[in-house]
Amino acid sequence: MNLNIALGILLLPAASAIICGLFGKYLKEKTGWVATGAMLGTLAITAILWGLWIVDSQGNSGYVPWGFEWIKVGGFSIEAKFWVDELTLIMLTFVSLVGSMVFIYANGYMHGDPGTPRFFAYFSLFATAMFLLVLGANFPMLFIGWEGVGLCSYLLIGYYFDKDFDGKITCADAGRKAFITNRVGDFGFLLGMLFVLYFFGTLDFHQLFKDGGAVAGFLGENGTAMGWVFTAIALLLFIGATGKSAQIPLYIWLPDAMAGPTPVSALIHAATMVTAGVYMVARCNVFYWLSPEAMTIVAIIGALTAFVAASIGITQRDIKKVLAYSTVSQLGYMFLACGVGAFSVAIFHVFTHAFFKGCLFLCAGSVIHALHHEQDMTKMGGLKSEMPRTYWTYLISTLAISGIFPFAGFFSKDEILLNTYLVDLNIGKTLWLIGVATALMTAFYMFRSVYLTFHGKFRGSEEKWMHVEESPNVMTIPLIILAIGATTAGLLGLPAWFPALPQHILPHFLDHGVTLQGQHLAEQFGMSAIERHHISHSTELGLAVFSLLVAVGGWALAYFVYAKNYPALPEKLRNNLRPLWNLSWNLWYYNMFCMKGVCGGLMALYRFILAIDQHIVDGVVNGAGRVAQAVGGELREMQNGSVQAYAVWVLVGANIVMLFLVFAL
Amino acid sequence: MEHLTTILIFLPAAAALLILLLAKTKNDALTKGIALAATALSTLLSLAPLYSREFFSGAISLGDSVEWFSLGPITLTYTVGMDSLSLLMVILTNGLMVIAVLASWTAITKRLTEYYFFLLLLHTGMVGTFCAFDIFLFYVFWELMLIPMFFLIGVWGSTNRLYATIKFVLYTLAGSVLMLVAVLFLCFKAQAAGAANFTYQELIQLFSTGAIQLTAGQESLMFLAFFVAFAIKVPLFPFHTWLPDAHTEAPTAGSIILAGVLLKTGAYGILRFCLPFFPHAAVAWAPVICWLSVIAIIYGAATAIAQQDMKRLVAYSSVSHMGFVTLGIFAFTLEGLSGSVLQMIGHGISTGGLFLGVGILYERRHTRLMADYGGVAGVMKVFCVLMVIIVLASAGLPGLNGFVGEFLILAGTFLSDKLPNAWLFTALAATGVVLGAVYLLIMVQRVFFGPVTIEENKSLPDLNPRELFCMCALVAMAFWIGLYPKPFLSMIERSYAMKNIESRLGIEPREYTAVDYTSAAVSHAADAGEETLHAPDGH
Repeated sequence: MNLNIALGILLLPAASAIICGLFGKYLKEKTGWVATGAMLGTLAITAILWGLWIVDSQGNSGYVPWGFEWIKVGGFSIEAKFWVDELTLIMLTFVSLVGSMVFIYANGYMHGDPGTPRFFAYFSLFATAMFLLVLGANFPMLFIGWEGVGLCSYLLIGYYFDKDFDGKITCADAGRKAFITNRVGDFGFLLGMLFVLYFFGTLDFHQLFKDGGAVAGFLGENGTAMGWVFTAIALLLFIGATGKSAQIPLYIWLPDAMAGPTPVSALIHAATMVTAGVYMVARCNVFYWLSPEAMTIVAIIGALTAFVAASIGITQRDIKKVLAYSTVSQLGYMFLACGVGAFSVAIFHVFTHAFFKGCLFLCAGSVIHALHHEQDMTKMGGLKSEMPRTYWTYLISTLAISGIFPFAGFFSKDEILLNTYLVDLNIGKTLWLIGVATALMTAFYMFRSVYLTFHGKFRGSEEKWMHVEESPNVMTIPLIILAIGATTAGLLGLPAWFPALPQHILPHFLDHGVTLQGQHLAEQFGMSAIERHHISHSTELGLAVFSLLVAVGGWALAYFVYAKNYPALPEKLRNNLRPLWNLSWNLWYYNMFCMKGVCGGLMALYRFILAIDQHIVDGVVNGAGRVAQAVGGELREMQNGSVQAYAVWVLVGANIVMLFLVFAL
Repeated sequence: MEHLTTILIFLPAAAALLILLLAKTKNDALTKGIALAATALSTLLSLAPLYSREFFSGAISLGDSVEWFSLGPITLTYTVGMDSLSLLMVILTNGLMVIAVLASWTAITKRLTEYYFFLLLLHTGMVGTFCAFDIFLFYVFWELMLIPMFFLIGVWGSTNRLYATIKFVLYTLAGSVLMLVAVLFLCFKAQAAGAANFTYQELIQLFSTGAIQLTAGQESLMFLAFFVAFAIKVPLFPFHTWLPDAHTEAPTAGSIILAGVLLKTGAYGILRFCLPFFPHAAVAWAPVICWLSVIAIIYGAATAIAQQDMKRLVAYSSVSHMGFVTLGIFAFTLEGLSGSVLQMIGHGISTGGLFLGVGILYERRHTRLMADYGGVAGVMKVFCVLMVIIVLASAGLPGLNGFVGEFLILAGTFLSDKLPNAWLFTALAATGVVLGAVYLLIMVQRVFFGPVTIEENKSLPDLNPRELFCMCALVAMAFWIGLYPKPFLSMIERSYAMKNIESRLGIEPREYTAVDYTSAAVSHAADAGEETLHAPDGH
């Protein structure tokens, strides 16, 4: 058996998308099981790939043998080729696993919706695009998947295309916002790709990054003189990542992305799409390693995004909005990790995050389902007794995302904070402090959502309470599986101080193959790369205890405010901290600035250009026409029937032409 | 096979005459049937050379060359033929003509005979333009395209049709007259250099042997005279203002042909004549033309965003997309040139599809304003799916046709060594990718999404089989070019036109790092990296 089996990962969901799209009319709700079956098939193939990997004792990465030449012009060739290595395997694992859970859940969630076939066709297409993104062996293949997930998110976010989303914008608007914001990022990505092509002559990852590959050749030829090339490429690609992975300044689409059905949010926010940017940066770690400037910028953007998004999450009332901002915030952590050179830790956090965020969103969906599309947490409460499975899985995931020992998020987040603390940068400690502050806020707003949703008394209408019931098994079993993941995924990255068990399994696995490629190159060619200090295990343990205390502090605060003293204390806090509350509630006014300022301004500019087009550019043309008409009217007088006069004109005309030919040419 | 080109050129004209002869029978079905049969037969015939190996040898073949008439010392010939560039354009023309005939099936109800007569005459003009290899014959076919289009817009257009059609004809004519002057001058020069006739091969031969000597000033002026004529057709900013008017007023078939084929004749002319004839002037003027192209890309997109009328929106989007074509051509790289030709074909398909879609809606509701629609997705489901695919193709989504052309153009521009500040042009052109998504999605949004607010839209019938066939054919082509463009690119690369451009402009294929896929399993980069870590040059 060879790696060609990996193609099945692309073909199964693609086939499912076609079947659901073309035969949805006849299959109706059965399309859900077609799509789910395909997704479980990809999970099985991923398991086989792992088997192959382990059997092959050398642990070789390699091209999938099958492929074809996609574009060829002269010596320029782009192959439709796929590549499997450590990073691909890790990505495939959680995409197929968490994806399968979301697909199963969606069968229950979408039950009774007349658009189900369309939904599953898009959903399968989404999975196909994500797998293509992960498996692609070169930039253009990655880009097809990259654009594909953008397209599918557009279609899925706008799934309720005839509905309003939150009064201000429609679902279709939200979808369009996502697509266009992503396109802004793609602009950077495209240019980055062209830079790579120009300087290195190939777009194939392995050809670029392998030892003795194109980048090494370039370094050997130019030494450190052309360092700006790496900075330019790294930053251009990062612009792409800020679009797809929702970082400052392009994060505005993600919170609106929950206009789609909740399983869509779970898929976009947890396993697919937003992870693409982190994946791409990790895949291209060479460019970042070779440019400490670019890495510093990535770290700063990541830390700021984490902080800003968490601060917004504190005041939101819509449960999905809280989760959406928490996603933005967690993605910020991942980029912070990339920026301090801990690419493998970033992927580790992507991995654990996929489980607990997937679980949180699906729980939120379960709640929303039970409350008939109520999303406002101030109208919830007390659901704990009625929806025990949803409650417990939500609670476990909250513990995980807040970084409470021993849940998965504790290990991955702590590893990020540790690496930030150790990084040899002037602003390293500032970034660490921002990270810690974010951790505090994360625990606070996440437990706030737990208390508002599940504890206390139900604050909605009597009628809604009557109908509250736990979701069916098809929805709660995926929750339980994801919650198990959220509890145990941390085992794959135990810290150095952890006794007895093997440590850093997943980060070491990645470092061995992919994520340290750039550091090796930097060392080999004497380029300066970002470095980290070393500290003793006991200090590491101390830092871990500290961050745990911070998380517990956030939890305690949330308990005090939202469980003990609700609703009096929140009310009082809101009134006393009005400016801060306004800032948070209004999303730092950034969304408004983008929509009204940037978009509004551009629209005005476009109307102005149109006016110029109609009145000036076209005005000249029509004016010329009018002048010609007028002149023609005058010239008509020349045709007076006198042959002598004609002869004179002919002579004059001929002379002008002659003069022109003689002098001008 | 030998006279295939002649047959392809005159088959539509023969059908047009037949329609006129049978006009007395007043049999509308017969008229339409003849038109459909003629265009379909043309399409099938034009596919035949694809099966001939000799055809791709990079020469002009399958043609005829006979003396036409002599005017004193000047001998005009009827020389036609095809290289693979011509063939691609002819296939595009024929295919879109079938769709144009089908799009007119029920939309045209008055003066049927005359309508199909002019449509088929236009067909002959277009195929002739792509296949003429005598410079005068080219000019004749070039002008022949104008007359039928004048009537198609002027008689079967909508309210403001006269203004639009006169503007279209006069504007294009102004350019053609410039070209005529240049053609005449060129002929005098060629004759002085000992040309027996004015076939394309003869001229290119004289140019490449240096028999025709032009001063820099002469070459520059000649280039401009040709270029402006072609640029008006493309249309390149600021010569584009006839386009939105012509498109808006033209009947659906007219718009499809105008956007799909007529604009391409301009770019084709640049590739066939401007570049190989006047290479130095082309390089000298390239920065100006590239600036205009980049302006066209952004400006066209910006004005498209501000439109209320769907047809105007698509028309301005054409300005933006064709800006990519001229940019790619004047980057003087293989990637850019090939990308431009692919973009020409891709644009013909996706914009043809957009106009077809707008026409389908127009036939049902008799309005082009986006505000008169909304929520159509829930009513015309199949149409919505196909139309969204066409829109995405137009927006340059990878996997569909628009992306391959645009990507090659951007890459070709970026890699250009003849164009100063190539990176700047590339960066500016890439913004067109963002803006393209904006205006197209605005259209999708306003027309298809949201609730149905207007009563009449609640009962719009979905596509009938005829419309379904047209849309599906275009969608299939969009996928084909997007997923497997290699056959098209290889046809472009092996064309006589590209060979001339390469040799006259001294364009060399760029060398890339050889990509070696022979070993399916490659051992670890990191492992090997550690071994050689401290090895090289004794650091």
